[in-house]
Parts: sequence; C-alpha cells; structure tokens
Amino acid sequence: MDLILEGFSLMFSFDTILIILAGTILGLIFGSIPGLTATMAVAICLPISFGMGPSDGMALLMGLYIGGVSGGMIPAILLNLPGTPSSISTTFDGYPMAKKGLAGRAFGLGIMSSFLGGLLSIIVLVLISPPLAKFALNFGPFEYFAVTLFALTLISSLSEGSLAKGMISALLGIVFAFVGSAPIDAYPRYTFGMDALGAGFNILPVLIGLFAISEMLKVIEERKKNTINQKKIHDYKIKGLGFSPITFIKQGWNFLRSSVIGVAVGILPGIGGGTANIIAYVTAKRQSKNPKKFGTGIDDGVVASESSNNAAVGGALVPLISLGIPGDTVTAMLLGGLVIHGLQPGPLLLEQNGPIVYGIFAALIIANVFMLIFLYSGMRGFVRLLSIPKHYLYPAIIALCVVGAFGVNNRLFDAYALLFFGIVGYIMIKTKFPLTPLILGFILGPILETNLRRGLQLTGGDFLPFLTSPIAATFLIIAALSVFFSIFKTQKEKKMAEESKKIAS
Amino acid sequence: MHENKLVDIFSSLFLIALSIVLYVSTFSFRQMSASKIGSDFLPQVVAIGLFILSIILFINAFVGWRKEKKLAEETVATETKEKKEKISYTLVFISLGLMAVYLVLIPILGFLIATSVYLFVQIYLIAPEDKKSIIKFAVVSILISAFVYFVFKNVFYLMLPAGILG
Repeated sequence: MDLILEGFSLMFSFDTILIILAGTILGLIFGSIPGLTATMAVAICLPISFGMGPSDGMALLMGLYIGGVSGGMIPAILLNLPGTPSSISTTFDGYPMAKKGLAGRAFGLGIMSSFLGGLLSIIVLVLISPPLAKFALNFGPFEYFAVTLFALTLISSLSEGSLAKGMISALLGIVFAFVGSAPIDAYPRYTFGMDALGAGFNILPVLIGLFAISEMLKVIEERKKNTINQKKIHDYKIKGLGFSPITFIKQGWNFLRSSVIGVAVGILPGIGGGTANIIAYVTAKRQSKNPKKFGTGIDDGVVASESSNNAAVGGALVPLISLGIPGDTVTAMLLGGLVIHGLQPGPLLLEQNGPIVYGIFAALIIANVFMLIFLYSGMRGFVRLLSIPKHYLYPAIIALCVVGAFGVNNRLFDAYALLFFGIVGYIMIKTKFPLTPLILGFILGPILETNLRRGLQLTGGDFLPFLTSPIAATFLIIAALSVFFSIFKTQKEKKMAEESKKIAS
Repeated sequence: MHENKLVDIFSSLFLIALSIVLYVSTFSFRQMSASKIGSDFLPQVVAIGLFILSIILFINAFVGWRKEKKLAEETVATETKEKKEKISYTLVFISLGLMAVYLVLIPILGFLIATSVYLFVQIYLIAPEDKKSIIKFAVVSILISAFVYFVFKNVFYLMLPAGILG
C-alpha cells in the first residue's frame, strides 16, 4: 500500500503529469494516422525518454502506449481504415454506424469501452504482477531458461504465418544478439573484426529500424493508396456521452467478456491488441442471439473491439513487469526503455525499483483518463490530422528515426545499424516472416544463454536438472505442446483449404 | 500464388547458407571458461536449428510450388489475370540509397543541412505528381529540420552533429 502511494506521488508532480499528457496526445496522433502505430510512437520516443529520469521516461512511454492503442478508432470509424492493427474489427461495425449518421454514437461507445477496458486491465495488472514477481523470485537459472524458451516458442507458434517462419524469425533474433561479446566469458562473437560490432547492436537502432523504418519503406512503396479524401468523412459530432447509459448497461456482459479476452490475449507472449480485438469480435458475434446483425453497424461490435484492444495493454504488461519478458512489440520497446534507464527487468524489478513500477501503474491510470478526455473533447483536431499530406509526414518520421538512433550514443554506427535493420525488417515483411519473434529473440537470446550456461556451470555440464525441476519441466512441456498444437492446426487448415479448393473446382 | 512459394524457396536457400556460415564460424571461437559448455555452444545449437527449419521451409515451399504450378497449368485457360497491385520497388530502392547518402552526409554537412537536403529530395520523390512544388517543399524541409534540431538539442539534450555550421 505504501508503495502504491509512493508510486502515485512520483507521478503527481506538475512536470510528470505534463509529460504523460504529451505522451497521450502524441500516442493518439500516431494511433489515429493510418500507417503510424503505437509501436512506432514508442520506438521514436524511446531516445527522447533517455534524456529524462526513469520515472518521467516511463511515464511518457505509458502515455504513448495508451494513446497509440486508442487513437486507431478515429479513422476506423470515419474512414473504414484501421489506424493501427488494434482497431481492425472496429471498422466492421464502426464504419457502417458512421454511414448511418451514427458516428458520434460509435465514438462514444468506443471511447467509453476503451477507457473501461483499459482501467480493468490496469487493475488486473496491479493485482497479479506483484504476486507473480514474488513467485518468480524463486526461479533459478533452470527455471529462467525454461520460461524464456517457453516465451520464445509460444511467440513463434502464435505469430502470424507458418510455424517454421516464426521459429526461424526467433532464431534470427538470437543470432543478431550473438554479435558482440558473449555473456559470462565476454568472448567476442561474429564481429568480423569490426571494432564497432564489439559491443553488439544497440537495442534502439534494432527496434526503430525493424518497426519504424521498415514500415516507412512499405508505405513509400504503396504511396498511391495513401490519399485520404476529406469529403468522404461523415459527420462526427458527439452529443454528451454519445450514447444513453442504458445502452451501455446492455453491453455490460459483452464488455466484460471482451475485456477478459483482451487481458488474457495480452498476457500471452507474442500477441497483443492486434489479435485481441479480432478474437473478441468473433466471440461476441458467435455468442450473440442475432449474429447476422454484426457488420451492419451495431453497438456490440464496437464495444467488443475497443474494450479488448485497450484491455490487452494491461495484460501485455503483466509478464513484462513480473518476469521481464515482453508480451508484444510495444512491451518489447518498453523493455528496451527500462534497460536504457539502467533498470534491470525481471522479478527483481519490483523489489529493487518498487516506486518506479507503481509509478508505471499510476501513469497508466492517468494516461487512461487523459485519453478519455482528449478523445471526447479533441475529436475535431485529431480528424484534421488525417489530412496531413503523407509526403511530408513519412520523410519527417524517417528523419526522426535517424535522430533517435544517432542521439543516444552519438555513434554513426548506430545510424547505419538502423538502416540495416530497416532493410532486414522490410525484406521480412515482404517475404512474410513475422517480426515480433525476431525482436523477442534479440531481447531474450542473451537471457536464455546466460541462464543456460549458469545452470550448466552449476551442474557441471549435466542437462538433466533442467528437466527435473518441476517448474522448469512444466514450462518446457507447455512449450513443446504449443509447437505440436501449432503443427496440428496448420495441417488441419491445409486439409480444409485443399478440400474447399476441390469443391470450388 | 506460386510466386509466394518461389519467394519461400529463395529465402530458405539463403537461410540454409546463412546457418552453415554461422556454424562454421563457431570453430574459431576459443574456449575461455573451464566449463564444457562455452560461448560456441548456443550459436551451434541455433545454427543447427536454423538449418533444420530452413530445410523444412524449403521442402514445404517446393512441394507447394510444384502442386500449384500443376494446378495453374490445368486451369490456365479459365483463369483471368488478376490486376496486380501497383508496387513501386524502384521508389523503395531510391529511398534506401537516399537514406544511406543522408547518413554519410550528416557528419560532413551537419545535421541541419543534411536533414534539410534529405527531406527535400525524399518529399519530392514521394509527393503525388499534381502536388509537386519546389519552393513549398524546400520551405517545409528547412522548417522541419530546424524544428527537430532545436527541440532535440535544447529540450531533450541529445547531441546532434553541427557540422560546418557549428
């Protein structure tokens, strides 16, 4: 309890509130412009947070996270374009509502669902992270190795595309992390005699390159499609809340179910709001008495999508805060943020830096409130942002990426690394390899290796204790099961696809 | 569709080659610690894993490619060619080259000038034909880079190279 108060008092200074406010607005801007995402917002602002203290830095990033996930609903409802992957299923019913002249109602419901879904997930986060971290304190190298391997396999099998590609991607991430000195004995590996590679790749250029530069290259390639017609935007005035309280009470069960789905999906490594909103939407449709109405502009669709994607935020932070294992790409960035500020992620984080962790919780709640206020009051401004010409926006973002990669260490090498990882990311997008496993492999690879080698040092090279520790064994079994399940699922899908092809021909 | 499989075939071949290079380079890693498991152990495991997975990817892609090719030959008469999405790879390549030049120019010209030049060329490159205006783009480029330079230097205290202006 004392820690909670301390955490909140850390955030309730004028400067920090201002930083959260700026972060939330910036996040909303990135979220609302199609082509820019929450991941990108966090990537570009990581170097900025470097100049602040750890609590202010994390406060900024939390604002960006909440804002980035929430802003996507604006173009989803008005233009049928999801601003971020988190709002894909918001378009299914939000846009039809706007076409019927009910954009205000769609926004009202979307904003309120986002706010409450986010709040619920933050409460879950505050309640389960501390006990989970306490439990994880008992982990030795065996258990840590198993948990990390579990996270990596789960990410590979859950991410889009084939299992083989997901796992290859994760392994490539580990390979990139090999570059530089090895853990424990600091032997330089894969440096090709280059001094600059001796320290390995800095996490910032890797993150920014993979997630911002690659996306920019992709939108440059599709530039013709990027013109937004302002005249097509429907009237979007919100009166009061935008909906009557009774409407929302009717949505209570739908809201709760979707939020729980969001939190659960968020906790699983590798997937976040982008998957949660679709699962929640499909579930809402399946459980509905009149599923045919979905897609024609009903309240349920908007509520399901928008409550689940914000609920995934709190969920994704659970493994990050308690175990130091990121649940999705944004939390991978946040992990980078923690490292930059000299905080050691993992179960010890809460014990050693309790106030900052509770400060993060407080910042999330404050950012959630700001999100509610700004979306209700500043809608007109965000809509106007949609008309910023893309040919100004994209080059400016690339320049910002270069500043970010360059600014932290003031090494030109980092800027070249940025370009290199931008190209790697772009090629992977084009060849349909998922990016998330790569980044998690990059982050988790060293943890995996350190614990493996420490464990083997303890046992004198014997692998057996990795299997006989009950916790480690459980995680390894689940990891193996997730791989088998994924193989089974793709085989089934293949068969179904072939059968449907036969029927079609 | 079978272009996708071709892409998979080529990427798996590349990955197989990469995994072999990764494995072979571990031979030169010297043993630094007394334990049996040194800094070459995990790289070897990863390289082997990468190799096996790439082979799986290759086989899957190859089998799928042949199947689809057969299918495509059988149905070639009825199939109408779908309009391909317009994708401009030249633009991507030029932009990449431009970024590389930009990075090289930063230490020479300084951040302010290099960024203005880069922004101008990049904006001009991707702007729609009917909206190209050299003066407007030049003004916007200079304004953006001046703003970024000022904000990062004075508000966020990041060091940026001043170059010939400093």
